[in-house]
Amino acid sequence: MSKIKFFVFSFVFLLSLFTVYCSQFTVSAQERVESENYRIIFPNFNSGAGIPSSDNYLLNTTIGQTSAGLFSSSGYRVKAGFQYINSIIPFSFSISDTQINFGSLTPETPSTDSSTIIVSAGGAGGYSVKASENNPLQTEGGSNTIIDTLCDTTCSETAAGSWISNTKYGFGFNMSGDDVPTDFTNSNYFRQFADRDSAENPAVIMSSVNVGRERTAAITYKVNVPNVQPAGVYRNIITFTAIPSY
Amino acid sequence: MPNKPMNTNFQSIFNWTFVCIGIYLYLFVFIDKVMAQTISLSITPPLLEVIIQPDKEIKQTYTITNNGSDTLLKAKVVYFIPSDTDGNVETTEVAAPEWVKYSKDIINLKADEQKTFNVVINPPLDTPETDHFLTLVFETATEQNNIGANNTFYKTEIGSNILVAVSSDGNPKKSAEIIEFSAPRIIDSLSTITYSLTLANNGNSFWKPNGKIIIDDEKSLKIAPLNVLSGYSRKISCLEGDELKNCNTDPDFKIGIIKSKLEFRLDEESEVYNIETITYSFPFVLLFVIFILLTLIKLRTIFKVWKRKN
Repeated sequence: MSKIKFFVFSFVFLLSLFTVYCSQFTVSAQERVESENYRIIFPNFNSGAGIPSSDNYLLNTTIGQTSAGLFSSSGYRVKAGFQYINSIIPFSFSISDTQINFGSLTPETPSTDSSTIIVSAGGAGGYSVKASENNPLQTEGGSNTIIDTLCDTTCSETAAGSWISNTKYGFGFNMSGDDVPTDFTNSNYFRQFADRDSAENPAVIMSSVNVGRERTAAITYKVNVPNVQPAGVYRNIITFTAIPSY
Repeated sequence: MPNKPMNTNFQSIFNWTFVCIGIYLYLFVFIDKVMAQTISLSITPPLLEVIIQPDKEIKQTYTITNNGSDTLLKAKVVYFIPSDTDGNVETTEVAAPEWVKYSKDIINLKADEQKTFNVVINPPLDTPETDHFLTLVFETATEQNNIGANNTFYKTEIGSNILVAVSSDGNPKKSAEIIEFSAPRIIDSLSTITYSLTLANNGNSFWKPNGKIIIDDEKSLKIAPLNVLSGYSRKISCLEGDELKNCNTDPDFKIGIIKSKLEFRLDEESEVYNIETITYSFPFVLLFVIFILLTLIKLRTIFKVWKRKN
């Protein structure tokens, strides 16, 4: 029994020693991270460390003098495309069905329709797709409006909420697929479109910081109106803005 | 004579059948175009970086390709501001300076057609030495097809960013600050290290970090030369081949102190920035398994002794 006690005691003792050892250095590492002396500059550093090899940094299109000393002779230096990939890959955006038709709306019976969005940012890294509406769904002249949905309890242009109830009215959208915001938990979660007429900024509906080839997402629109909704033809325009990262 | 009406009838039926097939084919094609109209645009280059002296001129040719339905495009160049630390942008309504010249004519881009578009950058002699962060945006101007139903139309905008630094000598002041370079303090010997790196630009012009994370002077991870704009910070990924990835070490068994050193320069400048962080690696899992095994062996021995005594 004494051998077991000795074994257990030794293990606990060694573990404690290691923990104390680590915690001491943890404090010093933390100080290092927060210190104003974080940036250490070696002006005469000449080992070449940190300089990438030219093979991995092929300039896909570079015009003008790349050497700073020769800049004055040409007067410009131009780099087109991302410098760490070997070819200029186009940035592509596509969306199916340029018009979403809800048909005749029946009160308290939601109408839905969907489109597919595909983005290719090549091997160049990130991108974002933002969406906004010119105004909520309105009749000609804006006399009648279908409000932007508030979901069952609450939702906005940046935060999705569950929208199952047929007695909650409005216009909203759901996203599913690649690179979509995580607040679209499932197909019952909806957001409003950012309303430019109310000075709301376009909201991100797809984004990635990494490679993005043929990233595909489905956008599903939903509209539900009450019995008191005035008759009329309701329309609006959704603007999608797709831009690669810099 | 009796055959004539029969021939006429036959001819009539043939004509009507032909007309019906024609209408069917026309409607099929027409409906296909109306109901399945898509917008599919691509633009290259996706990024343009220019350092230019006042009174000099460069012309960049863009290629815009339409892989969707016929569309009308309108171009504009506007300022952008970074919307996060991941390199995404938020375009503004502020138009580019007048010395950024381009055609404002409507572009009629047919399906599967490709067109070129020129942007000329020609800052005048008195242009202040500063950076301009711009986005060339092509906006679709497809007309609405009013079919008398409740509907939503799309308008799409596709962009390409343009970073312009106006500099008389090509050497604008560049300066960096390491906002974050961190790794876990303690890890299990069998797990990997994930680094977080955020750099800020407190100089006058945009730059790219060129460098690497050196682990115990043995291995290294290349950091991606992503643009960091003056006055902003950016999370920096690592590079594997042509692709960006998180800065993670490969799985390796190591016990003790692991020193990770970040070293980088700003573009081709000589000044080197570096910082070090330490991670303690301890074989928690392995020791736990050994401890459990030894305990079981010991218990077995004790049990055997106890059984023998009783």
